[in-house]
Amino acid sequence: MAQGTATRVSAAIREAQPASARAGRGLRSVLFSVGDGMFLLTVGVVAAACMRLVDSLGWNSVLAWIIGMGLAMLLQTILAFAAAPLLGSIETMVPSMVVAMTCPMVLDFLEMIGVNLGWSWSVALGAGFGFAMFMFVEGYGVLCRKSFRRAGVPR
Amino acid sequence: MSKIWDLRARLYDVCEGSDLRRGPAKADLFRHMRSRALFVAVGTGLEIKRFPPGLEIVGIDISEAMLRRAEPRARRYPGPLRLLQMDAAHLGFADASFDTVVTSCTMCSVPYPVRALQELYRVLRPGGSLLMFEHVRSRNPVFGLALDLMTLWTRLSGTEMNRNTVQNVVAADFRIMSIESAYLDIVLAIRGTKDAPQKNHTQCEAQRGPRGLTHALTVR
Ligand SMILES: C[S@@+](CC[C@H](N)C(=O)[O-])C[C@H]1O[C@@H](n2cnc3c(N)ncnc32)[C@H](O)[C@@H]1O
Repeated sequence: MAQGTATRVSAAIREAQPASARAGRGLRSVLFSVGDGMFLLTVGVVAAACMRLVDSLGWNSVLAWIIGMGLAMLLQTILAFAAAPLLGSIETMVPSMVVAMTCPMVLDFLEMIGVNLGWSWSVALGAGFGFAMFMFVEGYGVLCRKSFRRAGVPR
Repeated sequence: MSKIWDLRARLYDVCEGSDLRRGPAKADLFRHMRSRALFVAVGTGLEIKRFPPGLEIVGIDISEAMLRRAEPRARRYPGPLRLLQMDAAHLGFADASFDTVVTSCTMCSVPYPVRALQELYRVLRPGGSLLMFEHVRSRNPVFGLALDLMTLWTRLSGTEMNRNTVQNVVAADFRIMSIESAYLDIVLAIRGTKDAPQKNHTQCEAQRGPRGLTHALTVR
């Protein structure tokens, strides 16, 4: 019943907006998605490169992990601040922080168990992390919008 | 604490405002503003251009530097807009003196959020609207943890990234009407109201909001 009302309300809101405004919003969200995707790919590549660089120094793997991850997170914070005016502060900071933490961790773990990926594969893995996070954010965003819309009836 | 905000005022518009991305979602929420409106923590006044024209608005903030930056924007607003330096937890207004109370990225910054929300409740007239554009802790464990970790350092500069603002709104006795996601379950547009005093407890319970809302609102 509540869901039906919510659907009717959002349909009414959609109808009340001119088509050009809706198209403008659609374009905006596509552009922001492209921006988010490119940003997360960059952070993934940078994080992987940091870890690879530290691993190549041949230090103890726990020390390498701490330094590699610390460096990756420092660069991620700088990149996030740089991209924030365009993409939003929380929107850049939160998912990229997860990428900068997990990607070096996985690379260091692989190194520890004797899997040395080399530069190109490490960087590709970093880009993969960025892309996976982008897909997760997109999917989770859809779920969140749906769950709030279903739970609350706008009046 | 106001000293920190005085310092942050310098770079606020460039680094933190996020106006390009969040502006339209804020404008959607502010559409519901009615005279007389109180805007709590107006900051550098980035949002003023998103307010509907012709309303009588009072904007408050604890930071003098923020208010100074907001002044030119307030002057450009087509309607009476007054800026005052004030603490959200100690508002110098009479009970029920506003029709709408608005916040935007405020509840992450005030030291005692429930106390501040109780003040907002006091100055809002029964039946009036609470409009909040706020970021909160994510229910997703990974993003939630990231926000907890971020809070370790953002707290030093006056911002808590992991507050459960929705629960705080309910704790201050507001009734939540709707929540919209502006970014995941982290940046939310919240609409609430202050009910007229109830005589009968059952009636009050029935007014708590649609079923299922409480679950979605437990943003932890
Ligand atoms: C993150 S900024 C948000 C500013 C603006 N609303 C925006 O979204 O651009 C938080 C604001 O809260 C203000 N603030 C912090 N503590 C406060 C308090 N106790 N009372 C009133 N304002 C406060 C700060 O000065 C700052 O301007």
